[in-house]
Amino acid sequence: MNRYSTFRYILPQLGMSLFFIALGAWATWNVHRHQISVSEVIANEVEGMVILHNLHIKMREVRYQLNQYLRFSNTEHLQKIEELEQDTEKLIEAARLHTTDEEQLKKIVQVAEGYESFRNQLIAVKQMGNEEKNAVLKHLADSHIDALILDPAQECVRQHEKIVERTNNSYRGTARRLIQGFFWLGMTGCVAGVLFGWAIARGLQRSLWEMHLSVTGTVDKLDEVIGPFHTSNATTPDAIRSGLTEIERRVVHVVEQLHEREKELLHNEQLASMGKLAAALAHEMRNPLTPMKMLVQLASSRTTGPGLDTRELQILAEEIERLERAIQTFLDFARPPTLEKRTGDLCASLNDSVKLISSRCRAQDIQLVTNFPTEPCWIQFDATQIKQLLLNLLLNALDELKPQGKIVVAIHRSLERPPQGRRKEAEISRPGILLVVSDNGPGIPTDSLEKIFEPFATYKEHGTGLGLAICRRIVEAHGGTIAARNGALGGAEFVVWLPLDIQASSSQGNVAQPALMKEPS
Amino acid sequence: MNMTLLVVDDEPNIVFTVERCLASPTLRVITATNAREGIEAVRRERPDVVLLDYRLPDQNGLDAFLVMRKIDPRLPVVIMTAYSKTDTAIEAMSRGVFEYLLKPLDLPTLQRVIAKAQEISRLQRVPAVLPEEMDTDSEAEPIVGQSTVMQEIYKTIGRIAPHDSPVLILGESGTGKELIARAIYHYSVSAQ
Repeated sequence: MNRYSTFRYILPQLGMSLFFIALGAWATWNVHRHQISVSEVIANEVEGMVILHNLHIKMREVRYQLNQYLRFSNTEHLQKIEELEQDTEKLIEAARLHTTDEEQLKKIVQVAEGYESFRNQLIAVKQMGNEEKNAVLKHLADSHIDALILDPAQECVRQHEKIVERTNNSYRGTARRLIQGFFWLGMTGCVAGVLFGWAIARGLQRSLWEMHLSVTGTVDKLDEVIGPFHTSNATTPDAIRSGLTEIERRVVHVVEQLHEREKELLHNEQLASMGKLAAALAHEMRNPLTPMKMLVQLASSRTTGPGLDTRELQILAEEIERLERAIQTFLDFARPPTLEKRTGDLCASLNDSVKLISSRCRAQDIQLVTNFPTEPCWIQFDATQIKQLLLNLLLNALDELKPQGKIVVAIHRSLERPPQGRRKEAEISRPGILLVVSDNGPGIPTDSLEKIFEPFATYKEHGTGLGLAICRRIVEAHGGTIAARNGALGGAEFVVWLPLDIQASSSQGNVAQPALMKEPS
Repeated sequence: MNMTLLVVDDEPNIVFTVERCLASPTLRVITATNAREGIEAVRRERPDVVLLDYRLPDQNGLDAFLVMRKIDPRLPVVIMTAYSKTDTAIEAMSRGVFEYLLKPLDLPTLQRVIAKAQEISRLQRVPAVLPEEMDTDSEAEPIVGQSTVMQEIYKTIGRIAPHDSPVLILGESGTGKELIARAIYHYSVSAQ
């Protein structure tokens, strides 16, 4: 299983897990924040309560001092009340700062106002007579402090307690909801995990099943090749793995067999082409050997006179030469000479071949027309082989033509390969040179147009059937193509396309200018 | 008696050599370089023996042979070839080629085969005729004998000649079995 498919299986699971992790983190953070705010609220309320409690203690101290004064009329006690004044005011101010709602604030304001009026009355009593003074102070101690200061303070404490309780309750509710939330989160996570696991398992099982099907299919195919082969029908990974191992072993076996067969086939092909070669060689040697053997036997049976006359000797010489040529052709075919490409004038080399053949043309009364460009054609080629190519094509034409026949050899510049040809590559628009050899002979049967370049495909009594095969090899060695067709003159037409060497022309400094028109540097 | 040998081969040197080796005062050698010319020569010149190459530029030698045999059913044809393929040899022999020779030809073998073919040709062409037909064909070799026994033999020849069946001829050595056989052959060909 490759990384991609693993990832494909893991991805939904991974996405879901990440989602749950994020959800959990978010919830935790929220809980934490909530807790902090709740504890802040509670701390505030508790502090407020403590302050009010202290205020309560202070006010009881004040009442105590007031009662002591009423009992003993010692002004020292009143003095102490004044000393407590500053602390009390501070506590009232602090309590006001710790209020959290309107109700509390109202109560604290009441407390502050009660205390204010208490103080004012305390100051006012200093100018009063003792009786009146005591009556006012007694009223202060018995009812004022309780009714106007301690009661509102107590109510404020109750308010604080209520808030604390409310906060607590809400905190408890939140905690319960959180527990529920986390419980459901956990449950959902579990169920989702199980579901995803199940889905993945199903997916894997399906893949395994498909794999099993292809394994069984392969097994069936292998059965046809190398006999029956048993795999279990189970789709468990182990069974499939063992099946795959078995298949691997079998496939290796089959591949080895194929390899063997291929080698055998190649060997047979080699033998077959060797047989063809031998047959062609035999034919091409037995024919010249016939007159040689008979003439020699005739000469040895002659009892008088010269062994062989001039004509007979001439025939012997001709046939010996023919044998030599045949051997050379076979050697050329069996062991092609290495290509020696040099930049040169194609037209000049082709003209050499034409000159070589022209005397035979005259003897056969055949008109040989060349249509070469006036400028030299500089390309890279092996002059010997290209000459051989044209010579073979011309000799073929001469073999077919009757007296007063006509052969036209033409060279054109071309930007395209001919449409036919064995190799069809993508390089259509490479510049090249077209060499066209056409005659007005009987032409080539249409069904043989493809075959004539095959080795030993001869239709003549003379000939090894190798001439055109060698032609094709020469052309392809130059990177060109050769094709046969029945041309405009009514006879056969051979079209040879040779590439203009781009490197050769670019090394001369200019690619755009056709190399055909240029002198070599 | 002068005989004619037709040599058909597209290689002029082979034709020339065969002519040089086999031509004699009693054997005229005519030549052709392709099947069409060869068939034309058979039609025109009525050669006694043909030496035919298997591979000709315009036609297969075996096909050319079949055409030639239609023109002259009694013509012995020797096929020569540079290809040593057993199936062509068997096919050639089964189609009634006189002999199948492999190139390069061995001169003594060729001479022997051609001589044998000439003899066969002569035996088939020069008929053994019954005495009363003597005047019509001067080349024919007559069977001599007017006795009742011979008359009976002539009648038997006449009866069996049209039938396409083998004939066993019995008789003492030197009594002329060969002549009777040729007579049956001659009249069977005439009958057809």
